[in-house]
Amino acid sequence: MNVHLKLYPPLSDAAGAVEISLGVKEKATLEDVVEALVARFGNGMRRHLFDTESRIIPSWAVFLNQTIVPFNQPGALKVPVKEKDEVSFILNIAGG
Amino acid sequence: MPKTNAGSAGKTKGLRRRVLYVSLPDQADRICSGCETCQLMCSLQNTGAFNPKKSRIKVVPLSVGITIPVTCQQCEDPWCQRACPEKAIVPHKKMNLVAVDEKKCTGCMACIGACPYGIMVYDPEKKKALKCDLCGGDPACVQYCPSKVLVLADHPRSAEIRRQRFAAILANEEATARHNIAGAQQIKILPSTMTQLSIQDSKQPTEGRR
Amino acid sequence: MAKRKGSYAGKFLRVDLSTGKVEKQDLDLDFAHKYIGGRGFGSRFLYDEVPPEVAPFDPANRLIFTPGALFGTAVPAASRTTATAKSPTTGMHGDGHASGRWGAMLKSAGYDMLILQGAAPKPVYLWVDNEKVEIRDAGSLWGKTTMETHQALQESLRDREVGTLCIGPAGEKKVRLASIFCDGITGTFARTGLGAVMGSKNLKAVATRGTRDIGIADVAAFKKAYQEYLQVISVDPYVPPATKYGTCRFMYHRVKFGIHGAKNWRLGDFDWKPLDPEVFRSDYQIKASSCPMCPVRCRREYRIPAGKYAGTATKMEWETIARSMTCGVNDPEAVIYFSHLCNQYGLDIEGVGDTIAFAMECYEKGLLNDQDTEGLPLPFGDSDVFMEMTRKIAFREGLGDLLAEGSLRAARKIGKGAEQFAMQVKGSEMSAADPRGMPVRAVSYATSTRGSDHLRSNPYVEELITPEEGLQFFGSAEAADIFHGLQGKGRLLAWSENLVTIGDLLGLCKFAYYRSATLTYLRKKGVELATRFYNACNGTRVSEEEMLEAGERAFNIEKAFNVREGAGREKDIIPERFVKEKLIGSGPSGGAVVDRQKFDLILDEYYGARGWNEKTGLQKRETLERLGLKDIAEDLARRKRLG
Repeated sequence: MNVHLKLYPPLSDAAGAVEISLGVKEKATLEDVVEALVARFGNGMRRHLFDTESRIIPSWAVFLNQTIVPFNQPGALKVPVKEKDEVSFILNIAGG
Repeated sequence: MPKTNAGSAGKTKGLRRRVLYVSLPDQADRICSGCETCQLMCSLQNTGAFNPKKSRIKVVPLSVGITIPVTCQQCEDPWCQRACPEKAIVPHKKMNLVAVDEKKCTGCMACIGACPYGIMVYDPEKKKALKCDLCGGDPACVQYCPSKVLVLADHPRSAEIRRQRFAAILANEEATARHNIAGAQQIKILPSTMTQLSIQDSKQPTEGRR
Repeated sequence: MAKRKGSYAGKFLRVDLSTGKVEKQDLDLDFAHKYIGGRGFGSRFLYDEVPPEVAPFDPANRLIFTPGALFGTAVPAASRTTATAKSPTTGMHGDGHASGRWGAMLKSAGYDMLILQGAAPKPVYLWVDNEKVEIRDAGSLWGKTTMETHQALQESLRDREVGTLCIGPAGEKKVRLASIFCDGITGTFARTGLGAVMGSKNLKAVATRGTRDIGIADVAAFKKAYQEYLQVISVDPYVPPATKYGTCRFMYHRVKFGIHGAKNWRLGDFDWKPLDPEVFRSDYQIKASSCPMCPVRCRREYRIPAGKYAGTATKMEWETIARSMTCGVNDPEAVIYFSHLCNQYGLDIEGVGDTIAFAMECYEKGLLNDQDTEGLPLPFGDSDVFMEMTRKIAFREGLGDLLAEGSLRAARKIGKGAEQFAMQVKGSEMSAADPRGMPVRAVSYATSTRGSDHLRSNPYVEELITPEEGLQFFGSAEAADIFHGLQGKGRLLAWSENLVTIGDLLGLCKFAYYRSATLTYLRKKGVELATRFYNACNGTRVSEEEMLEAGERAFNIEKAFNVREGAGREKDIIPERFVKEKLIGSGPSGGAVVDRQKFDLILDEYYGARGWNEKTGLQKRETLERLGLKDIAEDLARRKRLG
């Protein structure tokens, strides 16, 4: 199935686009979305999502449709996605 | 005509002549950011301490947001060498360029006044002239520039290439001047004009006159 | 082993502007290694020399400049100088931190600190030329903008490398929202009204030339740490957007979270599209700039090529965009021009933005009428009004004279309940983003020692930790939950404050060291490498714990200063609006308020983590003594202000 991804820098730079349609397996989770994104765009994408110990970087947050799922919450990566869900990746680092 | 010790002839004559140059911006972030890391790493390499006054590379602020690093052009027939009354600017032992012999330099500043690029430097503590010698072939500034704008390359032999680079410098100068002129415009709400540095400011003294 | 001077300059310089007396004092290395530099020096001297009896505009107030300990070296992004004084906005500890070469010049001239006291009888500037120190007439400079002053000084001193500090017309008029600017518009000591203090001393500028070396003890260790720093930032996903957009990058985060603080902090959503980072980048950006020595390059200057404000070229950062939206303005050229005006007049953009928004809401609600505004309507979103009010504040004209006092004092004068619209803490205006829905954010504004400030408190650590790290470092997995977590947040906040204080001691930029995508990278840069850089430069063996403790020490000195001025828990609060009114927005914080109970719970835990009395927020003797501040403990004990 396809999910609709909205990307911001640096992921949008790695993908060369701010919006993409990403194919994932049926009954996919957010973790599968991350894996599919990396599979499609390779190391240039991977380096922003995984740290040097190959762990998914916790300060990524996803807006699944309108609901925020911060990656540093237990169970975040197991959240299921449906066909045509909008998944926005945002680096959750505030400041000013 | 008196015989001069012109040119960096000598043991290194056959070696490739190299020069540091500032690459023209070919990518959005490959442009001098004005961080001045080059200046401090230069002084660290050459003196073991941090002092921008002793840097052989100078970052020149031209206007708001515009900074250009300026380095020795390693001239084949150097103006500095011709001007030196003490024969203190001599062929480098290992590289095809000239360097300042500190033992002979008296700090008269003739070379500083003679360099057309204004890139001879005066050490305020030793009271001697300083000049870039490319760190023996591995310049510290090139190593540490975060924007990768400094490039060590062969001195362009072709007159055509040199002409192009000089034309590019003039084009930048002209663009900067246009930028400055626009900035002097009066805006009705601001009670006083915001002035900007003029790159043609002839009132600025050269270091040689200090 | 004998202590080395390392990267310190080796002297303090004290100038009395009333008497003209100039004093130099050798730097005690024991003092230096204990207080480190920057905020550590400034806060200590302020505490020692400015008691409660001295008011901010009294000649006896000090204005102290202290470059960060590593400024002047090539340590990446070690580029900041601290300015300290008793604040005319808060009446308590005030400080600011600025980029710009002046601080390195001061060190190259031979001084780690410049203490200014007294007041000159007429406008003067200070000229520091290595060992030569002169007070000179500034009659011809008075009235000039910051950039004009900087250039006039460089011209009259016949040296384009001279570093300068100056105030613009706003500081001259003792506008409480005035800032001190560094090297023209290169950097600004923006907050807490330091520009007004400088103006009260009739000091227009400080010009400095220094030609001395700044030493370094261990070049190999420095270079090794440097390479490791570059390696960390090359893998940290925080960095590329910072380099690409500069601080404009914060926009995407605000949009998704719905926390703009628009229209005087009522709205979380706003028509932000005209202010898209891509717009600034494509249409106005001159280039990716750097503060001294910084490889991140997130600094920006913008130029307006055409239209109403054609030819304007100025430095502009995120908070200008944010505060423009606070006033309802979303025209990018107006935003750049607003930055230009504040930069030239010498004004604090946060303070001015929030104060104009306050005035706009008062006008909207009828607390200010056309008579008060001399016929000028003050609607939200009107950029001409926005510029005109900025100018009026700078010159204390008409309503500007009232607003120049800051939103809190203006509100008290207006009365009729205007205070509820003054978005400030301890008298200093709100900054960064809306704290509703994220409990520790609200507390962080309340606990900052210089009034409302996000840079001081930096609770953003909660964004990057895992629940396991929350448990390990802050005693609870909940510390990693931004929206619902309560346990561990107080401890997280205390640690986070000590952490960023390290940056202010060493002169490190927070964006280069204290923002990161993972806790591992953050600790690597902000604690380990920061400490290693300090040791490499100075030949010391300070441990990471000792460096964090130095941060804790400076923070406690400032707290003690505020406590001595009479502030306790009752001043650690946030604007009522955040407690009473729901955030109007569609993001995760939409509909949220700051829950008073949660606020108090976190604050209790925070005070406990700090070793302060949990009820009153006053410091305990044992905490001050543990930090080597026994004399401060005795002083507070005498005044019955210990916890």
